Amino acid sequence: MAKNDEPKLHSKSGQIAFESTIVYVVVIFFAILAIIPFWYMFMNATWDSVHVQSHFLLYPKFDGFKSLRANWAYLANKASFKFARGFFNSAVISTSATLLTVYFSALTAYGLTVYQFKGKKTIFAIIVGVMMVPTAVNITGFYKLMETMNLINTKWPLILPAIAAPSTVFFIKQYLDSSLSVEIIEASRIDGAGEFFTFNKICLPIMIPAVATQAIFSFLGSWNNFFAPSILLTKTSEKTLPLMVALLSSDRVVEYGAVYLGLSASVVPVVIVYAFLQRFIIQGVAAGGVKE
Amino acid sequence: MARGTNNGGHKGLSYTKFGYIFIAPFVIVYTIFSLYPLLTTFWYSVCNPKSNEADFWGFGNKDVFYDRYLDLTDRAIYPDQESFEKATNISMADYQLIRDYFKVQDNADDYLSEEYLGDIINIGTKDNGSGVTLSADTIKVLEQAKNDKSMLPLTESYIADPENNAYTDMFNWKDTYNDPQAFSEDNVGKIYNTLDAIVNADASEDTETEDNLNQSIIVMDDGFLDIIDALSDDSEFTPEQKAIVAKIAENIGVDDLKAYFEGVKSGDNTIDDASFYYAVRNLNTATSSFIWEDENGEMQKGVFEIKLTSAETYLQKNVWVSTITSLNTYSDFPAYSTREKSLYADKDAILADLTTLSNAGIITVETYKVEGDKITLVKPEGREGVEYTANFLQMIEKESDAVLGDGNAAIGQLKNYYDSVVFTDFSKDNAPASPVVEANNAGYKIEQYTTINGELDIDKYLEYKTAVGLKDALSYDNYVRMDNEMKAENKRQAEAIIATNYQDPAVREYGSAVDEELVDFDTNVFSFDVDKKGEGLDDRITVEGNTLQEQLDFLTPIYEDHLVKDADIINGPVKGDDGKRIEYRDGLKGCKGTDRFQIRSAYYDVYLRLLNAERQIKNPTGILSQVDSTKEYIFTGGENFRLVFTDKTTRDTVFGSFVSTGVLWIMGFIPQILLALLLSNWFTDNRLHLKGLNLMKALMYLPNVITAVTIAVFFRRIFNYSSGGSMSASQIVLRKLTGHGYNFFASPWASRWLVAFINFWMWYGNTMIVLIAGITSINESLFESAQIDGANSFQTYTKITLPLLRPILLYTFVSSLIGGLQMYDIPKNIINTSALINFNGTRIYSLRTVLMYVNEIAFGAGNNKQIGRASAVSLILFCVTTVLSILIFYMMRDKDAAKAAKAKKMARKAGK
Repeated sequence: MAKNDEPKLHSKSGQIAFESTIVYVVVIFFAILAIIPFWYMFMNATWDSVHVQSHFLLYPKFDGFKSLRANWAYLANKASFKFARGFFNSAVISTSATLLTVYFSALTAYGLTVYQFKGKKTIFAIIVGVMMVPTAVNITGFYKLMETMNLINTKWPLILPAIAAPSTVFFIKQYLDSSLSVEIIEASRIDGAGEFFTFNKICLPIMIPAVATQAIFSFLGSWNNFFAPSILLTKTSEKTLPLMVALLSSDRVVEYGAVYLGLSASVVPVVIVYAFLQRFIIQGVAAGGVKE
Repeated sequence: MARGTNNGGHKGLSYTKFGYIFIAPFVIVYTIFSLYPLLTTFWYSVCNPKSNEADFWGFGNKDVFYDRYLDLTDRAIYPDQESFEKATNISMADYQLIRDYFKVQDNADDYLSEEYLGDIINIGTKDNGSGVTLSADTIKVLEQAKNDKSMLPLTESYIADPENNAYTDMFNWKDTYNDPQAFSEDNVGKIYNTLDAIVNADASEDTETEDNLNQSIIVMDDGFLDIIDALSDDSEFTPEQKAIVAKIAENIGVDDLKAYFEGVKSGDNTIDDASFYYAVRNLNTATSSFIWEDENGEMQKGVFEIKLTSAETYLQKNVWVSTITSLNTYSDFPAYSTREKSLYADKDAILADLTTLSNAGIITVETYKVEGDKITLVKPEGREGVEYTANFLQMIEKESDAVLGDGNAAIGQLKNYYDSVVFTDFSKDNAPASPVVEANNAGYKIEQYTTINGELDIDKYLEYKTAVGLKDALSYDNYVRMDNEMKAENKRQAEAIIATNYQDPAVREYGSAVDEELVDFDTNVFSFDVDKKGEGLDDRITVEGNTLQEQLDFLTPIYEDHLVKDADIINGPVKGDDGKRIEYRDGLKGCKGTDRFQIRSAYYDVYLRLLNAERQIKNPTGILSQVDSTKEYIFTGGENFRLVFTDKTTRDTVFGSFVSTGVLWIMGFIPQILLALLLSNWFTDNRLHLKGLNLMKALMYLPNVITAVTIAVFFRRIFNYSSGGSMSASQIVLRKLTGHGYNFFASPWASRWLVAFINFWMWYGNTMIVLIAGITSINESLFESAQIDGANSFQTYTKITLPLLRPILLYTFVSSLIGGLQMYDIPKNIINTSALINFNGTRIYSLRTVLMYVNEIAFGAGNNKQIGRASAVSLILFCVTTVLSILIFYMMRDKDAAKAAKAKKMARKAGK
């Protein structure tokens, strides 16, 4: 048996090495595929349009960022683009929406976990039920409501509804069920703390891991949102970054260098955030799928 | 796991109210921003509004609704008087009275309001310095009209004596009234009062007065917008103009100026500094700059800049307050405001006053001399001073126009109203019939029943309807009857057409052949061959024959001869290939391209008429569906749903978009799930000892966090097609490799693959991470026992991993499907209108998803929006996603238990 064992072992490890090589090749191929468009975007942003239009370029132009600056000047001078404005609008909307989402979702989840009241189960069931129902289906009604309230071309329709985010409530409640012990709340009550004090000062810090994950996803969702803003925001000064970017798809914009710079400008912030938070994001995605 | 909740039970009871308080914000916001709009959407789907501004008319008064919005005299409904009277049982003359009523009322709604009459009365009673006011009679008539809200007094005086009536009086008065001097003085008074208010006001009122000051001086004209347009694009300017802009920029700062111009253009900024307006306006009309003689006796060209420093600036400096106060002593300013002194009486005096204001820092009076790109300041002296005094007055005059605007507009609207419903020219015998006069002749004073409060008064209308005796004849029941009769008639006609003309099955065969080819023809031939478009238009082929069959007989041989034969030229080599295209053009010389197109479309028309007749048999159109509901709409029941499910074109378009969405999703999902399965298996395989997995995972997930719009635009740009000049990345590479380019967006399937690829590329990382989490959560001992039992890795995977992954796979599948149904960002930003595809005989856009369709018909360009149908389609989408959500809900509900049970079962199976 031992005799037969050795060559077998040998071939097995050889097979594994072979398999590993294939796996590495495939994995590296897809990893490159994932970043090459962004690489192409970044590189071409540094070139002048003439070169971009006639060459396939994968390296930057070393001219002391002259072309890059020219491209930026083009983007900044176009009355219809206003990238800086779009960035600002997106930042305001996403930040406010995220803060509202996480705070009120935590509040709701806490209310549903800690207190006993009539209709609690029904409400939770409804929240879970509507979690996956997209908001896009009521867009005609939503538009009419916003029109009646005079909120078209303002940021409010994109910020206020963030208070009610069923999926965020669901995930935070899942977390609370497993990690909030009722003794803490009772101890706090005995010490004479009010319910809101207990929530804000004692329980909210406990929820931080869940809240942070949800904040990241809420922010990304709001930052990347296109459907509702494209219908509600028509004024250039109110448009968000994705709407500005969408303007670049027009065939009439032939300054390719500037187009790639504009695209890069919308990608870079997200890539930077992602670089720092990718571990949490990936954990969040994994947790979302398995849902323990 | 659930310890917290269970223990909280009994204690929590006393805190019940906090439970409600804590979830209240969520419930309230969800109700307002999600449930209420959803209910509105439900509501829309059973109505038929055609614009976002349309209001609900009400459940009752349906007859009034149709009276108002359905014009039965329309020749498209009843071709002649005879058929009209036969169908309605009403004489045309009687019915015309109804139409006349709404013409008068709708024009009153469009042009007049109580507010307008109020404006005229207000301005007309005020002496403007010219000594002319509206006559007491006119005012009386106006007051009377305003009080009983009927147009009767105004029109009666007009019709009785067109030469001497309230309207003519108003018009004459308007001419004398429009005296700039009087208004300029008025405005100086205003400025004075504002300044006075600044001096005497509480600090809290400062902002308000400051606004007044800014607004009272500035007027905007169209030329200004053009200039800003030109400025931002840096097109040709004369050196003079550039110098002036530079001068202003020097004072304000270039970036601020730029931002400011752009702000003005987009409507964010108001023009709050007169100098901007003035200098820039001078840019536009170089001749408006002045010419003067310099000390050497030479003529010089100059431009004025008169600057009113912003109120804010001097409010910040207390010293100005005392300066303004001292104005009363140093200048005649207060006298202008009370009209004791005329602005125009003594120009030297006003120059002195302006100088005082200038010295006080309230206005800056400067003259610039422009030579080439050099600007020098010329001190205000002598006659130059007089010049810019006049300019200052000009500015005030412009402002006067704006103030006058209200009264002018009101009288103008009144004129429009008269023009539209009363005779405009009494001297002509053959003047067109006017509704008001016609009704008068028939003995009904329409004006008595119409109102000027901006909307139809239903009670008054019903009075009128009773008076003309049509109350019963034009009932809703009657409308429904006419609708049904029209439907029956349309159906009968369609059957007749088909019976007489379309027995030949070849019609359909040819028709659908053209149908298929037209897609290619439109996109490939007609679009790039634009330069040929004009050719041959003069000698278009005239289709001979009276009946459709005769026309067909005429067309068929031509069609076969010229079009079918060279189908290989049209279909084969065209697509974006330069060499072949030349070949194709040479081939075209035999028969002109436009002729081909004409023949083709004529032939196709015949086929379309066949389709139309068939449609009429299935869903005949009546009269009620032709109502314009852009302003008001009524309850229509299941009409929208009926259309979506039974009308062929609508159904094909709607379900075509569902199918397109599904196809796009499945084309991306299959490779996505397969790759995710493969990668997740490798990544969890301990035997392989892979390193750097976290980095790889992070990279593969990256596309998922990037804005989808950015990615779509990126792909749109790199796959763009153009024959030369500016080439996109894909074309550069393709040309290097194959010698010629390829137009991805002209092909429906190429563009679909592109979208599918983007979806795959963005989402496989996500799916992979979910699956890895799923595999890691499987009990390790199961794999070990399988290994001990001698299962190879393939067997382990198919017998243990896959079955245990099934719930997660199902979850991924359903949630991806729900997400896929909402697909919008990517196809929307990739869309090209040329890629059409045949769906069940209807041509649809290959990339148009459900949400894109909803968005287009509900929010697209044009007045005739189909909010009702859009809502119905949204609701279908809602139902589909809800069903899928419920599925997910059940999957997640008893997951732990189900999982445990399954795991046990699997373990037993694997153990065998």
